[in-house]
Amino acid sequence: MTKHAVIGISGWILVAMLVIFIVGPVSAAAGDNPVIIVTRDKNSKTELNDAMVYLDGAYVGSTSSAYSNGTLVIPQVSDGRHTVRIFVPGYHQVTKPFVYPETSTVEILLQKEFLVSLNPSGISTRAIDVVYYPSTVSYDCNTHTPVSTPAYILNETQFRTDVIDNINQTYLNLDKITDPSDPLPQNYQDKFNFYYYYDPSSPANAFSGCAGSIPENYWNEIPFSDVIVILYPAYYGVYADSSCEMTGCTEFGPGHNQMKTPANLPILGTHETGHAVYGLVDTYCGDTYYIQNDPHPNVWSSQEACIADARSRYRDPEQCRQIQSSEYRTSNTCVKNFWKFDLTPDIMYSGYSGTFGASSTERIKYILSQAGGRQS
Amino acid sequence: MKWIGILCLLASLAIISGSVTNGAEPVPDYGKILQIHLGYVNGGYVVSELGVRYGRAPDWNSNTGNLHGVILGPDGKELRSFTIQHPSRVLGEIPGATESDRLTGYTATLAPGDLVLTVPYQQDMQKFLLSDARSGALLVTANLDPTVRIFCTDYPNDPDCLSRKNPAERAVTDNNTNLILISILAFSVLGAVGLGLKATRRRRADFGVPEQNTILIVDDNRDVLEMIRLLLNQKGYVAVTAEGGKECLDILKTKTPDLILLDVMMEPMDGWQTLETIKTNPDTQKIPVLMITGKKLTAAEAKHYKLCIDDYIMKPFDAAELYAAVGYFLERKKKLKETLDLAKKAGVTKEKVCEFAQLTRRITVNRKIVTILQGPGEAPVPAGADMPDTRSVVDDINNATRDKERRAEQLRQEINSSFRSKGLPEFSL
Repeated sequence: MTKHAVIGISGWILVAMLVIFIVGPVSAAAGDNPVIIVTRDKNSKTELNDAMVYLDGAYVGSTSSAYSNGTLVIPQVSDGRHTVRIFVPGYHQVTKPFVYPETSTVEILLQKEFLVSLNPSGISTRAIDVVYYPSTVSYDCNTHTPVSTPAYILNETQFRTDVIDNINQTYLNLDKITDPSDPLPQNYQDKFNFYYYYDPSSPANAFSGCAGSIPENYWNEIPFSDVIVILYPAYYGVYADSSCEMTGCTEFGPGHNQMKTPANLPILGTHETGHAVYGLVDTYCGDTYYIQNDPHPNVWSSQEACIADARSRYRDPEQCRQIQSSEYRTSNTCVKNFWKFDLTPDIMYSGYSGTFGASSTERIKYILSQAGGRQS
Repeated sequence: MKWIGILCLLASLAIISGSVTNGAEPVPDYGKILQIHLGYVNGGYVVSELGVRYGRAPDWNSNTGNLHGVILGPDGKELRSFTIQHPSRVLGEIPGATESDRLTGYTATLAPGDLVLTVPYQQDMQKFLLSDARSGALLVTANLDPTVRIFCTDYPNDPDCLSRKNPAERAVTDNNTNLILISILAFSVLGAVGLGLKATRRRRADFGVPEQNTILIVDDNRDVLEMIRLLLNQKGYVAVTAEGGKECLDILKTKTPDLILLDVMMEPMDGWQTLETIKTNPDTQKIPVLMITGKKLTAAEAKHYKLCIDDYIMKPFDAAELYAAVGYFLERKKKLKETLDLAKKAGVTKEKVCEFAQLTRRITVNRKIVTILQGPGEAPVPAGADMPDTRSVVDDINNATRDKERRAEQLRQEINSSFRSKGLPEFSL
């Protein structure tokens, strides 16, 4: 009799628990004050599952086919104003306010993002985000004028190919063009997130201003870009001499930099990344901008500073030279009150040839050390 | 057998626990950014806009620059700092004229202009400072607290907003809560645990909108709509929005706001038409309506709609004006309710008190309409060939106002007499 009583109590407890844990949530899901969130692709109008849904800032679940395709039922929503936020990878994030009970079904149309990730193993929130943007303008060496070109805007595949080539020959080729006596960390290639932005209706113009121009709304859409690279197709006509040589340019912005580079001259792109990514300063004498970058400069504002730095690193202080044109010119028409250390062939000197010298490599390593590695 | 029962119980607990904690749910992303819009005005930067939104910021690590930004916490502690290059410094690689020149270079500092700084959101951030990195001169400061509060009005259940409100509340919505409750379940009475779970579920689903005054804002300009909504949210009001007269009337079919802010210049149904519909519908006529417009009230409008207008606010208005106008209505509503309670004790009818309230309000609004029609600070409009309506409308309103003043005074004396007879203080509205 006692044993039967014990079994009976345990059984009832189990039944009660099943009622609470299985029936309870089901009734809650279909219970009072539900709001139905429906997510669809804006163009195709097809329902999207796995959209992450946040209500008033809190994650409440993902859309699925459990209730109906692309929906999530949020139970027990209080009366009043609410804000729903939807995130689906590859789509623009959407926030939408609604008032309950006036609105009990919230339909969200999601627009596909124009940003394409080139990181098959995922992205890191702390890596350097480099975004390539296609230019519809190149340069005609016959007429010496900028010229419109459909090369990229009609052919995403071509643009993607050129972007990947450029990445491989510049960002991911760094170990071959930096100081071999001070090697880069083995995982340096993981310090970047690469993307390209492809919206045929909204192209960049590489020849509007020095570093080109991109549509204003870009920074609002992709605020995390560290560096944006406007890639332009090869020049038209004969461009192999200095009368029509391809140009690059970097513009420093508030926390992000913009550069332009030709698709078929990666060495020039590498020089521009020296500015745009690593903050390196030109070492030629000309109408460029000189500053002692900090920390780990590649240009010093005094000879003493350059020498002191060289000595502290057990380098030859004799390598400290003033930036002036006498190195390659007979007449000394250009002299700057800045000193450099890296020997030629210095890519920050030439722009069209050379490698990164010892001081440039040290700064590059510092910048890479500040960036997080990619998640595996 | 007893042990089999207990083992079954524990096994089912383990299954339930696993189902709660081991789901393949995606990891929520609460990453946020602070965007500081700086305008370049008279040779210096000013903060033109601040905003917090979901997103990711640039890394800021690659810049050697001459502007230094700092985000400070509540105790003045530095939460984050960064340096940026002078905005719009341009470096170009331009080939020289001959082979030996190779590069002549190109540099330019573009004219200073407006810029936007995008910084990762910092918990407890209070202040932003921007200074000249070389001289240390302070260029810009901004109080970040109101910006964060506005964000948290829209997203009160964001973990960062919850922790701003009350650290204890965050614990309730923490995912571990289910586990804790399950542990309790194993050692306590089933019914109590059931209640606890129900309470937890309710807490999670109750998205934190307390009983507040609801204000319906009607404007076909989304920017204005959003601005007013943010301002009202900041003061703790629940703001419902409608982008036109028709949407406003649709909302009123199911909801009764405490106040309507109604824009006049709207299409296709303008504010006056909307107002007339509201005031002729017995279900909505008692809802006070505050008219908002950038255009001066005309004599024709005043003549036709004067009985409908509860108040009138001119664009552009600042936050203080809006708060004063809204606060007046809601305070008055509260006061009227208190007076009605006292009136009941004094044996004064509700109708009498309400008539007095309507009269005094009408007198105030009429005076305001007259002031608007006559123009601010101007002498009364003289009768003339080009403005006969204004003069006559002003006269009509003044005559009507005098009649109302007399009736209001009569009612005040009657009501106060009853109040005094019951030992109640004199009333005011």
